[in-house]
Amino acid sequence: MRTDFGWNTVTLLVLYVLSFFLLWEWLRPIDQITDTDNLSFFIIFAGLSLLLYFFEVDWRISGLIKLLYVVIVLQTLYFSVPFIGEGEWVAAFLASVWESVILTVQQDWNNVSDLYRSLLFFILLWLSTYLLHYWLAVRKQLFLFYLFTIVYVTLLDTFSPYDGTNAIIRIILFGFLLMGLLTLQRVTDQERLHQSAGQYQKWLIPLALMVAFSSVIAYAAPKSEPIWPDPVPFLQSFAGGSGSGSGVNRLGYGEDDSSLGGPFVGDETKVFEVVTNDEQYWRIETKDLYTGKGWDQSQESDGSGAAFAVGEDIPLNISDIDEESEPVTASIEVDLTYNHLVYPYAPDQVLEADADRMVVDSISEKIVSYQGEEEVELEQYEWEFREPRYSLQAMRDTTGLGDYERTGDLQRYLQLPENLPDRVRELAVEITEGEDNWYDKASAVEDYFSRNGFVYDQFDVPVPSGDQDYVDQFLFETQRGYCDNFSTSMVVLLRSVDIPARWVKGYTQGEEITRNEDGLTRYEITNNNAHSWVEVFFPEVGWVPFEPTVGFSNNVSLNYDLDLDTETETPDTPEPQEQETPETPAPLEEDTPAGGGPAGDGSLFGNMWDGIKTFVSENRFISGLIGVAFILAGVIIYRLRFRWMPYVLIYYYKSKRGDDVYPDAYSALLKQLRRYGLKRSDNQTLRSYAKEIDEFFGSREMSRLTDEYERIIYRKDDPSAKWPEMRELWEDLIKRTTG
Amino acid sequence: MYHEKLETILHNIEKVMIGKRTVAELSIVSLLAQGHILLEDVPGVGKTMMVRALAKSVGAKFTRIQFTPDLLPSDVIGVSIYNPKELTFQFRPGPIMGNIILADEINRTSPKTQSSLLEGMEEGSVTVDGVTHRLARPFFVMATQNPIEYEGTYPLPEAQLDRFLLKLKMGYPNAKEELEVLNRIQHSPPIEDLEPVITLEELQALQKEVKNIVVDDKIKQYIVDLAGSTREHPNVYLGVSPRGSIALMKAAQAYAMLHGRDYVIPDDIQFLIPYIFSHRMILKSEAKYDGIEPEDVIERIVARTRVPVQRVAK
Repeated sequence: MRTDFGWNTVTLLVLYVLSFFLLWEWLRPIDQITDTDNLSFFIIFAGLSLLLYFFEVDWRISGLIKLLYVVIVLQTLYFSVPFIGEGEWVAAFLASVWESVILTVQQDWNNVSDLYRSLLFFILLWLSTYLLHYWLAVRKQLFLFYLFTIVYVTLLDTFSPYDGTNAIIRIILFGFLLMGLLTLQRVTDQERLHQSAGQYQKWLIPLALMVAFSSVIAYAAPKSEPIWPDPVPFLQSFAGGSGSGSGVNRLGYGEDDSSLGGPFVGDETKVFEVVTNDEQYWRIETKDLYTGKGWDQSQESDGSGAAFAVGEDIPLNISDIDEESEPVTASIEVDLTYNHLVYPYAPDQVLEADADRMVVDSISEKIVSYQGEEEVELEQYEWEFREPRYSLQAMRDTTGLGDYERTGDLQRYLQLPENLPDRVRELAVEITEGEDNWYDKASAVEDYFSRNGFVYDQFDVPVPSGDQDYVDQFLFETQRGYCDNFSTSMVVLLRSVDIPARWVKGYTQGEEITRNEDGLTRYEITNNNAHSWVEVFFPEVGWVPFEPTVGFSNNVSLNYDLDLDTETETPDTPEPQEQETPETPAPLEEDTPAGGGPAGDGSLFGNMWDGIKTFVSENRFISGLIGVAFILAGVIIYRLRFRWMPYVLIYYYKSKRGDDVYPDAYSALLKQLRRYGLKRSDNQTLRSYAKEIDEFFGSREMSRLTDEYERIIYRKDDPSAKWPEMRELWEDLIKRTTG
Repeated sequence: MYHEKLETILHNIEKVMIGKRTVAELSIVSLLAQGHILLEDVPGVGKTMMVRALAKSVGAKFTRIQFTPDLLPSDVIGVSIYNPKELTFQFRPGPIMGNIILADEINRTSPKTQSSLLEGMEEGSVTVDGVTHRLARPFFVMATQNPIEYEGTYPLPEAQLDRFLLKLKMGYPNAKEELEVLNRIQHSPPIEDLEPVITLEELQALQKEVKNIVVDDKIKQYIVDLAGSTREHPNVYLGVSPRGSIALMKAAQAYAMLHGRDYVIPDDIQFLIPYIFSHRMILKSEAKYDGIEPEDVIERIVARTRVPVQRVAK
């Protein structure tokens, strides 16, 4: 039995208590993820076991105590008879165990009794505490256990309902203290140092400070969003949709948008290639009826609409375009054929297509190709179109429907579901409060997402459940999603303040493949480029596209604003101003999978920086503290540079080749020795200095290194040959200076 | 390598001389660098034994001149004597015509006789009655002088002192060494049993080889820095001449060879400099009164001068 109580014993007690806490972290989630009840008995058992180990109770006695405890607990849990008095339970107990042992051997594990399971669990705990005791008292190393504790909790946190937020903080605190103390013990044991209170103070105070400091920093510091999305919804849906939502969506064009939401995976399938002069969005169709869950058409499309043939003017006027601008062409080669054509914003005519007529659907503005009465899927066609230009002045002048007020034509672009939560309307009013015209209001809504921390995410996107509104869920709860979330929300917000808007589907500009000599570029559009965006109606201009989807770039939107500002500085130019809306905000906002690519990183840092800025302005005191801490840490790191510098040097010189490596490395060694405190005075020769160094370290390396160095500088030996043979000596010596 | 041969000479000397390794080393350095040694010490500490051991080890002709106040130059360099049989004057060479010469108590004789020896040392030849006689090769003089405070001495002039490559003190052996000396000498003086370990021709080859020991520009610069410092030092009346710098370089080459190196390192310079510079500078009277010795000044200069350890910037 342990009887002496010195510093050593106190530390050991602390170690046992801390490791008990760590073990506890293993037991905590169990009642949540399994059907185990009465967990406290197991926790007490773990504590009792560790306590017995701490007091170094004779194994026979401690074993007896533990066995007794296990039996009593199992008896009280599984038998409702008093422990002493009636002996029948003993037979039942043993029978139950025996039966289960046989079942175990027969691999019929489902039918083993609960009592047996509990017993096994006790045994497992017994083994665990023994292992802990062994690690603590004999090996004095606990890193593996610590690491596995972290892995265990993080895995449970990710894949089970267990919330490990607090657990991980506790583990960090306990674990680092534990390992710090163990290191001290290990060092004193190895060096046979006498343990004293002063020594403990010297060790414990910095240790506690460091752990406290780093934990506080880690806790208070702003944390960036995970780079990898939460894999669980993805895995679940991938595995067949056992979780919530309608399963994973394959990206690409689809007609049914009545139930939006849920994760989707990227799809690299090529849809078409286009050769044209510049990047632009490709339109397919629009939708006008928001149902609260997705999009639909307010009127059933009957396939009727204005028809046109190759070479004829297209009976479709999305917006007023500049008649002066040069027509450009786009030839499209389709891989994944549909019966509809993708078209640019201001199409003039179809130059070439293997169809005798095409029909623009009057409701959705979808262009469908026909051969006779049959719909055909075109493999190739060519557009002549103009680049759309929108008059900013005209848009800024718009404050109401004007003449359209009376016609009621635009009513379908203003309709909202009746059960749209009020807070959506309130938010719309709030966003557009400071603006007096439609354009600025629309821009305010467009920018709202990027400025309020909305996140682009393809995976962790839920499907609204029950009577939850799709937009409401996105705006107020998840604040993460992909183009459908952003574009739908913008349409709804605009309609809430009586601005007519609609939802457009199509493709982004795609990936540039080759650039021809004649200035034309070939783009590849895959299913990943399928996209949705917003069009806003201005009476004087027509439908103007807006791009609310964030996730990859808010910088682009800012540039976009600046462009406008410079343009508004010239108010006396009445002519329409260039504003290539589909192009400017587009480049980074495709539906490409998040998490990869340089663009993603850029905005990630941008977001982090924004986060830091807001954090600093909100928590001046803590920021100040953190700043001071950083400076202090910097000073300490600098002061302790002799400890880490050798590793930097070793790494640096490891791969270096060339004539001067050895002299340089030798000079670096001299500097490092000076940092270490072994200074060579100016009048001291290298040889005598080397002797001193070798005496100090009990080594021979320095003399040998110096001998070679002398040959280089006093004899003009070729230095290049020396390094390979000297490197090992050099590394050995410079490593000694870290001790 | 020559190093082994030199080691055997050292070893030979150590058989006879106990605890005098530095003196033995410096003697060999001086022999290799074709310089001469001025030993300043009281009688009876083994100066003669030292030189005889060296001479025996290299198989050289050893002569000894005991300087007395009445010694004449002709007693040193030799004299022409009329030979009545052949009716001619015949030159009878003096003791200077040996390879290794012990010039004992050189400051006891008159300056005239002193200079006859010193001139021979410098020129490598002597002229008697208009005939020039070349001195033997190798030619190595080890002159001893009693400490100059003694009565009845003629101190060597500064210009003459410059002719000696090294000036060193033998010093008394410590008690243990002295005991060992007694033990060895009891039966037969070990000097009688010494065998030559190197021929004179080999020694001359070594003397030539010394010139090939590498002296890097940085080392030369270091020598120049040190010599220059002696000329500027406030305690010094007359600093070290360029001949002193040359002596230091040559001695350093020989010392490097003795230690098996074919290049000179700053350690060589630092070791040799007191032996080479101390008799080549004159301190101011004030400094002398303060009890400052040339060796102290040199020590301070060395402590102040930066050792070249970096390669010259390209």
